[in-house]
Amino acid sequence: MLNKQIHYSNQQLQSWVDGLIYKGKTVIGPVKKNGVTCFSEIKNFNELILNERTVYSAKEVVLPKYDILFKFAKEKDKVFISKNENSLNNVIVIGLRPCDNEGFDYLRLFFKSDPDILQKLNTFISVTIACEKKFDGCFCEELGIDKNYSNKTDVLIKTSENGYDIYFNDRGNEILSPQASDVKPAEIKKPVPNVSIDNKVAYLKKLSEQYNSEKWKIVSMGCLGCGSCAFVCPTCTCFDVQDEGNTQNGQRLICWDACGMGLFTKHASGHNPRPSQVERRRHRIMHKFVYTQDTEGKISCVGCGRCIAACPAHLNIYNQALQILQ
Amino acid sequence: MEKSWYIPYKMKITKVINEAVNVKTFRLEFVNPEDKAAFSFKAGQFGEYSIFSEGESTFCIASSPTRKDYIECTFRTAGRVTNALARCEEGDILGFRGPYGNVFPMNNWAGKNIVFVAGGIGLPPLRCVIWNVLDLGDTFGHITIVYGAKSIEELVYKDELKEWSKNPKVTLAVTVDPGGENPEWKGHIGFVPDVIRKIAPKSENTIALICGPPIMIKLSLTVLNELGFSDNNIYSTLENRMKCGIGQCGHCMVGKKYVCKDGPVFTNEEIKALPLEY
Amino acid sequence: MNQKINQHIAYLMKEKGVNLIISQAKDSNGFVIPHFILSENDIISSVIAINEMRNFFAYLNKQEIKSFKSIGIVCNYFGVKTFFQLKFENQLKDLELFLLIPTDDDFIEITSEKQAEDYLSGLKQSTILVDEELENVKKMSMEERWNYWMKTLELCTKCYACRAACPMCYCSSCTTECNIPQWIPVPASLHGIFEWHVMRAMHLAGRCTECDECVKVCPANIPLNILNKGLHNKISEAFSSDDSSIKYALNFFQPDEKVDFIK
Ligand SMILES: Cc1cc2nc3c(=O)[nH]c(=O)nc-3n(C[C@H](O)[C@H](O)[C@H](O)COP(=O)(O)OP(=O)(O)OC[C@H]3O[C@@H](n4cnc5c(N)ncnc54)[C@H](O)[C@@H]3O)c2cc1C
Ligand code: SF4
Ligand code: SF4
Ligand code: SF4
Ligand code: SF4
Ligand code: FES
Repeated sequence: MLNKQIHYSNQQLQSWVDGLIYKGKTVIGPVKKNGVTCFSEIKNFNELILNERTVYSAKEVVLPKYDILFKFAKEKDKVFISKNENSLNNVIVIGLRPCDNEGFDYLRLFFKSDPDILQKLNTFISVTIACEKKFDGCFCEELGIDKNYSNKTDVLIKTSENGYDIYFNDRGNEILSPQASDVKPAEIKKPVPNVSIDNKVAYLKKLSEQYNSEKWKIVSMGCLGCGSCAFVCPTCTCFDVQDEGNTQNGQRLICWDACGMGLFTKHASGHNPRPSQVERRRHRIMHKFVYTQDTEGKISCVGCGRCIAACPAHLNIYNQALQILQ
Repeated sequence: MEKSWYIPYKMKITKVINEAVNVKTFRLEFVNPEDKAAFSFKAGQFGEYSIFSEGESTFCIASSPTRKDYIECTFRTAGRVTNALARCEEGDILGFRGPYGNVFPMNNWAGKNIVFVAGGIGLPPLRCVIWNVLDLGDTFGHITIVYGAKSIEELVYKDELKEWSKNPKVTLAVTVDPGGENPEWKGHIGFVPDVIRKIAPKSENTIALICGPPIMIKLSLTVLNELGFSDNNIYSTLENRMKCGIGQCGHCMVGKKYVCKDGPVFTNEEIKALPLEY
Repeated sequence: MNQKINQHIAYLMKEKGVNLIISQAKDSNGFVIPHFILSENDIISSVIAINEMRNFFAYLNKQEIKSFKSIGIVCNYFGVKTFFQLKFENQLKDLELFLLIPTDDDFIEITSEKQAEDYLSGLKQSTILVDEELENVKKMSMEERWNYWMKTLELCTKCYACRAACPMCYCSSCTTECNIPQWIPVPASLHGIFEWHVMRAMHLAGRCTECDECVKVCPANIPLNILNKGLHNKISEAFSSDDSSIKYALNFFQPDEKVDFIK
């Protein structure tokens, strides 16, 4: 609950972030790397890119493109296994967008019984920036997400006259440590219960009636079967388990995988339950808008539009869902 | 921190049996006694077997839960991990995660007859149930086993087939595809569905379990239906590509169902309700 | 596309039995996207500058697209080059293709290898490719180059969009997918990324048509074209490019190849 509020000038925001880094916190935020905006650790405030949507979502803070599960060493007839400990203690993720938070919210549901990932998801402190404008392809509002507000964060930054209004909860209080005299009770913007969103969600669920629609052939024509859409998506969770190493030692890893790729479902026998992009594209759209309604109780697309920007054919997942339903 | 889901038990290979061309059975025993004490499973479940440095592979637990000192798996060499497994010897250490998945609802079958239909490498998951049923003595009714393979060489568990054939509680029909026999062959010659039709097990008070190549399953189901078996009395296991075994990696999904979590055991009625993604 | 092309598309569909046209359009975000015309109703007019156009020949690797058999494809110079190279590699069998290249307010149609060759030789450029970024890299010391590649490749996630969008990556089973032995490590670790790109560059040496699709689709902005162009130049320098007997420098295909991933 974001129950308190303070005001920062541009200068104060900068000194706050630089101060956190100085105090030894790990601060992760959107930066430009080789021209690509993505989340990465920063060493000073000026590295932050706060006016763009990242190409890759913030999920990589918790689920990096590959992660070591454990290391092993083999010796005659013995095997030693050591679990890889990596926690997000002391980590502050700044520059999240409301869609990133919705993404994390979904991940908490999805990974509810994996203690390691859940622990990571609940450990870092999140600092969100409200979006003033839409980015290319964003459609979060269509899915009932307020781009100007998020209550699934520890700190929310909104631009205001000569600086920023900063809303925060108790965890946010710890990293802001404001002077008591500067703090006001937050003027809470009550999330308006949005009936039309419930209708929208129910409407999208009707996709399941269209499982055998001929239109899947049309919407999948542009799909080339890569992993871009899944890899940039804040709520795609699929992974592969792989070993690296030699007969003496090595490690077992999980790494990103994507249902758009042909190999994803292919059996060793050559049989493939989803033999073409028609079935693969359908699975992606159905998983986002229908299946997770049943498995996790909500649709898992947060409308960030990242997949639309990243897709070689810029396929629009939301428009395609509507096209199928028409 | 809690033990990660992905850290396997260490298992020692204590026995290697060459079942058929490219098919081996491993008997595995827990390296740590605490692991063994904490472990239990039920018929129908599977696990992730791994070689450190090559990766993990999904097999059912082919031994019966009534045999508590070990677990066994029977596998055919297919790709990277299974080829590496085939090179392992007695004494080697493997990794094992499990048991995963749902189970055959054997508690509901007390007093019922059971028909097992298996083709080729489909026998291992059923073998677990067969031994479980036989070890529990009089709990169940009569047992019928129809098992077929391409040729005599490709039949697995050859010694156990002999043992079952001598058991008065069991009607065993072993068959090989036409051309797969040799002059000494005393069993059936022909495809599994035809053999089921020939020995025509009664469907009253009877459960059928079926496992094998898709085409065999499809044709056998028709015969079983003809014999009066209803779809909710026919059980099968699905085998989608798997990575995690615990409903997280997304590989095994059939529509919204996870074969690893919601399965691998399904009744034929349930399978018919699934989208065709298996 | 322009009016003349659109009229011709309608003609091809009505009179020539062409049942799919892979055209190009701009979406509401300004991205150039493929526009599939399945019937005359799908024809739209759109304005895309010739050098903004993309190369959608990779779609011809999809079985679902191949099954249309008679296909029109709107492209620019790079499309023609791709067509020529694919024909030469004995791909595009069983396909009847109509290449439509927009010009100012007209278009050129190409349907045969011969026409493509004439078109390309009419525009013949130096075999040494010039690219600003490539020149920058060439000026670097070995150590600087190493750092340059480490810095850019680090971001690769192995999404394989570059491969998916590349018309020359048509193998039905890619070397990255071979796991006995596992030539290329699967995770997108530096090791796995590096081997993947070195492998791909080798497989494209002398075959890459420089359409830059891989760069356009890479979410991580990796200048893959530098690798391919650099390798192309090395080959042109080493083997005289006028020698028509040398068609591939680093690859060699035989019709009776034992493996079947190249068909
Ligand atoms: C629930 C279940 C029970 C199974 N039980 C048995 C058994 O008792 N005996 C047996 O021989 N085989 C069984 N299989 C099939 C077995 O898992 C595959 O043959 C094996 O994973 C191939 O692994 P590989 O690494 O050697 O092959 P590769 O071709 O190198 O495969 C790479 C990956 O593909 C996946 N994969 C490929 N084919 C299959 C497949 N058919 N099913 C599932 N995943 C696959 C695996 O995740 C593997 O890691 C079972 C599969 C499932 C899902
Ligand atoms: S929808 Fe686009 S990004 Fe996703 S797999 Fe298809 S081509 Fe790749
Ligand atoms: S599916 Fe696309 S728009 Fe939806 S959350 Fe994922 S990346 Fe964003
Ligand atoms: S859309 Fe595909 S890659 Fe993404 S979570 Fe669902 S199954 Fe996995
Ligand atoms: S498209 Fe880019 S990120 Fe994806 S595999 Fe190719 S180089 Fe890597
Ligand atoms: S095997 Fe990973 S989700 Fe089922």
